Parts: sequence; structure tokens; C-alpha cells
Amino acid sequence: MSKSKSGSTSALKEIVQKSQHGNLMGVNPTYLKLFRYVSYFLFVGLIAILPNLVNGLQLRLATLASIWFVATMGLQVLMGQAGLVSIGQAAFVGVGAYTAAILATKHGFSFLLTIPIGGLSGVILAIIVGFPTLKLRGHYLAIASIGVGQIILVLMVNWRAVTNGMDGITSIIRPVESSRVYFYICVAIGLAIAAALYSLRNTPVGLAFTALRTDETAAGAMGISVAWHYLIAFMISGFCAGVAGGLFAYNEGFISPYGFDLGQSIVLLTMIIIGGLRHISGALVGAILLVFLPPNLEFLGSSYMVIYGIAVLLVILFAPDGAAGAILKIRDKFLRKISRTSGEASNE
Amino acid sequence: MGVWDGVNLGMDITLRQVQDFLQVLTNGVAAGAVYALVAVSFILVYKAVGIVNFAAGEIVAVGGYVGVVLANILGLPLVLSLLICIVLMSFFGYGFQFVVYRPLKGKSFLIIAISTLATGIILANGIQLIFGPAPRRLEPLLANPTVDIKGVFISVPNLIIIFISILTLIGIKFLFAKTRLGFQMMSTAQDPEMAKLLGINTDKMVSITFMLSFAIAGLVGFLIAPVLYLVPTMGLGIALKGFAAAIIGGFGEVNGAIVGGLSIGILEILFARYLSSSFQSLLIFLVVLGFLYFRPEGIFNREIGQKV
Repeated sequence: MSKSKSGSTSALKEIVQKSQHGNLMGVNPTYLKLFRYVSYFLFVGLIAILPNLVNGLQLRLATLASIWFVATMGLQVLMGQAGLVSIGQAAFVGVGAYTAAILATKHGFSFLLTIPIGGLSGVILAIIVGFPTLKLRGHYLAIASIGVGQIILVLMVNWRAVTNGMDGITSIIRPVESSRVYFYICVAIGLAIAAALYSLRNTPVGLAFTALRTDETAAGAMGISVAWHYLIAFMISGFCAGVAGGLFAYNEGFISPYGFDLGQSIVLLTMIIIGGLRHISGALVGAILLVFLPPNLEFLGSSYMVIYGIAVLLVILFAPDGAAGAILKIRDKFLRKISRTSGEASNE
Repeated sequence: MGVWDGVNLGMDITLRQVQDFLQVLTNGVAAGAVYALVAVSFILVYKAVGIVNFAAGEIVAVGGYVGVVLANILGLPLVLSLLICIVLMSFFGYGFQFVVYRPLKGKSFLIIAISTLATGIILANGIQLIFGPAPRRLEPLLANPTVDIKGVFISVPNLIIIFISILTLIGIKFLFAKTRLGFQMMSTAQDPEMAKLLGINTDKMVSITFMLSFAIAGLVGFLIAPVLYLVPTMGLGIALKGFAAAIIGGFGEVNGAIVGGLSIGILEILFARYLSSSFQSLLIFLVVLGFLYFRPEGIFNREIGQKV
């Protein structure tokens, strides 16, 4: 009995892994491992020397990219893994940012406390929002998420006693003087969350997300608690957004409702779509692209939002796996090629 | 004497309050009629092909700007511009389906929703690119566009909005209740396979639905252009109210959309007038969330099920 259960789990795992990691047929696992370690090493090395290579503005953008990476990872879990739609992620970021900023400026909490509490505020909001919206699917949920985003925005603008209205909250002081160290802190938090989410994918919860996304009815019939897992996905997404909000508040030193409106929600959505909905690395690629491209597209003037829209449309129509999907495809091709050539070499 | 003063004053205020209330109420009905039309415009598409058009508000905005170009910049007469606007918008609807519906047939909800969202972004920012961020306005019909009915001042554009909305809604009800085309569209929406087997050209019906939906959206844009100032980002607010109206009405019923639109319009304007204008949109979304939670089937308690 227990054996057959574990057997079916491992079969499911295999299917899931195939869908998560692309087609690795004919790839020598040693090469894959080697490739991974080399790329991790290169990535960490690049992060370590990046502050030396770029100027202050670019370092600020890099920090911002790592912050949006955290928020977008939440969307990846919610949309890419569990298959739910949220067009209100920026509101969760905003709640995290305001929580952290108010605790830091008015109550003197330290950075080590405000960031986790910011994340927690995202979780609490996710629970509050999740309960009434959990039984909603598809367009109902999408509209509800816009509605929730607007409610939060109205509160930010009009609940002046707490949020200081359109004036926002000023003089949020970074825990570290050096912007270089703050960049490292943001990247470290991002990578820690990414590692946690990677390992989550092969736990029963992660597998349940995939099952729910593929066929909710069948997954429910197999005994997966639909509402509970959707709530978990919401909570993870809210946590990521809340943490990102806290980091954002410290990074900017000043927050106002402007940064957390529907437009920002759509930008976050765009990040994960262009980066690649199916991959956690898609959140990274998307965040980097959408933080670094706009300042470089200034020659387009205000039309760059049109370009955003067209880019999203093209990606959805022609490359639904996004940039990360394309990169992984090239990697697999490369690995298959060297696996084949090395196989031939050893045969001779 | 002092006592009578107080009573007179009291009655005076009461009369003024009643007049004021009626004025506010007409504005609410006009706004509600607009929301109802917006809701109907995307419910048609939703029922026919099962996609929710998140660009619905931007399409209304495009209609308004087309109206501005025709009536203000080209200087055509208003009625003629309205007709041209509706025709152009229905062509736009015909083209729209080839971008976000036909290539994505059978894809998941998420993909289609995002593609309509992206289209909305393109439209809103395209408008901004062409017309700039400054507000535009269709020049009003009359110099003093209000009529005085026993001290209640009612704006003529609002009356026109209410009148044309009623006509349009009657027309739509007639289309689906009495005409062959309406029946064919309905059967395509209900069961495309079966409709096809019965010899209905379902592709054509879907095209007509898109055209009708966009024509209504264009009409709405044109109607509100003299009342509201047009800005490129106006679509969002309109779409959200339309969605809210549709949700209250049970998402998929024309009658429900009318009731939903009117209740939102009236509720919102009364709340803004008598309680708080800054928390006005909060109220609407709380009502919508309440409906989603307690009565997702809408105000008329229509049974909804999910296809497996």
C-alpha cells in the first residue's frame, strides 16, 4: 500500500520534473550537474564583483532588480505553479513597504525585524484576501485581485493618520551606509527565498500546485485539498511581496502610494511573463530585463509602455515560456550536443 | 417670529435637499447606464467565446478619442460622427479577435487574460502617444447644457446618455429575443459544436459578436466624451465599474448587467455626495468582493456551474 503510494509519487515527480526542467532526454546527468555548478559559481562571482564594474546609478538599478526579483518570485509560485491570476501584486508589495516603513520610522524597529514583519503583513493580507476569493477562479479572481489592489491603494491615499496620504513616508534610513552592502543583502535574501522555493517544488505542496494547475478537478478528486493549497500559494506570494516591499522602502528611503498602483502590478506581471512563467529563474530574468531596459529605452520617450504591451503580447503568442524558457532550451541543446560528442568519443 | 423663521428655513433646506437629491440621482442613473452598457459590451464577448476582455475600458477610451477626432478635429456633425465612430469601432472589434482570440483558441485562461491586458496597455499608451496626456473633451452640444425642471437642474448630455442607453439596451434585448441573428449568436455561445452541426456559421457569429461589443463600447466612449474629460488612462476606472456591474448582475446576463450598472452608478454617486468622495471607490470594491463571496451567482441567483 505504502509502496504503491510512494511509487505513484515518484512517477508524478518525474512528470513534474520533466515539465519543470524541460526536455533533458539524452543529456548526461554529470554534465548537467557540472553545468549547474559552473553557472552558479559564475553567477555568484558576477554578483560579488558587480559593484566594482558599474556606477552608482547602475548599482541602484541592480538592487532594485533584486528586490523585484523577490516580488516576482511570489507571482511565479502563484501563477506559474498554482495557475492562479493576480493583477494586484503591487498592493501586497505596498503593504509590506508601509508596514516596514512605519515600524522603522515611528517605532524604531530594526531592519532585522521590519523585513520579516513586512513579509508577515503580506501573508496576513493574503489570508484576508484569500478567504473571500478562494472559491473564485479565472476571471472572477483576476477582477477581485484588481479590486483588492484598488482598495489598498485607496487606503494608502486616504487613511492619512497611518499612511500620511500622498505625501508618503519619508526618511526611511537604510540599515547599512554602503549601497554596495545593501545590494548584497538584497541579493542574499532573494537567493535564499529562491532556494527555498526551488526545494518546495518537489515537496507534496509543490507537486500539489502543479497538479492543481494542470487539472483542478482531477487533483481534487485525488484528495488534494484545493482551497488549502491555493491559500498556501497566496500566502507564499504575499510573503515574497511583503519582503520585497520592505526592501524597497529601505532602498528608496521614501514611499508613497504612487509606487504601488495597478500600473506597478502590471509591470510585475510583465516581468514574470517576459521572464518565463514556468521557471523561478524567469522571475530573475524578467526583473533584470524590466529594470534595466526602460532607462535604456529613453530614446523611445513615453512610448516604452507601448513596447511593453507589444512585447508581452508577442511573448504570450510566440514564446509562452519566456526568456528563461528560451535560455534553458539553448542550454539543453548545448548539453545534448556535448553529451553526444563525448559519448561518441568514449565509444571510439 | 423666531420660531417661524426656523421652520421656514427648515422647509427651504428640505426642498433644496430634495432638488439636490434628484439632481444627484439623475447623474447616478446616467453613470449607471454607462456602466451597464460597458458591462453588456464585454459580457457579449464573454458569453460568445468565454474570454473576459480586460481591455474593455481602453476600448471605450478609443471610442471617445475617435469621437473627438471626428467631431472636433474633422468638424463633422455630431450624429454623423457618432455613426462613423460606431462603424469604425465595429471594424476594430473585427480586427481585435485576430490578435487576442483566434491565435489563442484553447489556451489557458491566464494566457488569454494577459493578452487582453497587454492589448489594453498598448491601447492606453498608444492614445497617450498620439494625443498626449492632457485631457480632451468633445465640445458640448449646447452653450448652457442644463434644463431646469422645477428647480432640478439636469444636464442635457446626461439625459441623452440615459435615452440612448435605454434605446441600445432595448435593441440588444430585441436582437436576442426576436431575431434570427440573435438566436444564431446565442446558440453559438451556448454550444459551438452543435451550432456548427446545425449549419450556423459560428466563425461569422463570433465576428459579429466582437463587432457588436466594440460598437457598444465605441458608443459609450462617444456618449461620455462631452461629460467627462478624456484622458489616456481613463479606461481602467470604466472597466472596473463595468466588471463590478457584471459581477453584481451575475456575469453573463444582460438584465443583471443593467441592474448591476444602475446600482453601482447610483450607490457610488450618493456615497460620494453624502458620505465621502475619497472612499467612494473603496465602497464599490467592497460591495463587489461581498458579492463575490456571498453571492457569486449575482443578484438574481442564477445557478452557475463549472465545466469539467
